[in-house]
Amino acid sequence: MTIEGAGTFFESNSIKLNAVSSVEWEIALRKAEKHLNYRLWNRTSFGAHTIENLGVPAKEYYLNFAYMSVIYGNWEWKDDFDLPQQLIRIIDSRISTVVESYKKAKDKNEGRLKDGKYLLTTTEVSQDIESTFYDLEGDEEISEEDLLKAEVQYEEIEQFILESDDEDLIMFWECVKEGYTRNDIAEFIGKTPKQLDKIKEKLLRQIRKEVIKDNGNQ
Amino acid sequence: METNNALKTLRNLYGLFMEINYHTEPADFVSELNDKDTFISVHLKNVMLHRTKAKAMLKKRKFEELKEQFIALKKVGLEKLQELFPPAERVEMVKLFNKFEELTEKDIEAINEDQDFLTFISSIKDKIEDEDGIK
Repeated sequence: MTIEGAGTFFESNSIKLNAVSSVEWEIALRKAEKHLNYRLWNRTSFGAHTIENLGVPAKEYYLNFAYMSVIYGNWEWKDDFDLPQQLIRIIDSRISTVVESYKKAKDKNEGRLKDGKYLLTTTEVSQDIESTFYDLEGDEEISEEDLLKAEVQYEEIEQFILESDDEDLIMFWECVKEGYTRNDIAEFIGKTPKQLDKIKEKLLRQIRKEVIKDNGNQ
Repeated sequence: METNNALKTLRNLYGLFMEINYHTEPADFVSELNDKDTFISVHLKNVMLHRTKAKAMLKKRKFEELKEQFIALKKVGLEKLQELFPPAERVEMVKLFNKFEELTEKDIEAINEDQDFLTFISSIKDKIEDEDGIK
């Protein structure tokens, strides 16, 4: 993103940012990076989030877009959210905008937008951002290769769960298959959301290598 | 069909990871700070660089605003400005009024950091706005 001038929220965001330390920034960036690893899973080798379309690797593009928008006030940092959450909201909104632009360009048979440049729009993400985390189906195309990768990864997790005698992990995986949300799963298996995070960590350790392999350089 | 199920389940899984991550407290990330992450280091440096640039931009912008206000107030004239304050307040502000009278456009940079004087300028501006329309 280029700095062609400050946005409407430059001053109000700057006041808030004066209270943000470099450690807090680092945490915000790490949290946003994790979000991007999950959000962009299986989506960077084909379609809207490729280097060909964006000009730079997708993770680079969206993270940079988010923090520059806050620093130069093109997006309002709302009181309702902390810095990491605000970055995530900007990222998701931008992703929607890019996908939309890509689809429109494709519909018009333009192939793709030139040089990956998009207007600085501020499409709002709905207040209930959590619901959008599960709304991934059908928003983008997926290559045969990525489909195959998904199948392999799924089989690996299945195998890992089958060989596991950890009841929590087994239940967790069953709930995932059903498409349950964080609160649903916590209630279903009688754990607090915090305890659920530990179960997730166990599973994530198993698949982390795959995630990094897929998105690490994107 | 199998592939579709696999894809659907993995999408559920990553959706759930996103939700959990979104609700994770920043404090819970502190333990990760020791893990070297080159991607993050590069972007953190970029953030710090742009924060410095943004601060400089903001300072310049404030200075321009102050200059504009100052020139407008000078046009109103010292006598009229003094009349905006009750006599008792006016006495307390003699020093500030004198400073205002002596200052020229060139000196504005020096007062950009003078909080008392900035407050004084701002109070004059408020008085003018209260008087409705002198400005």
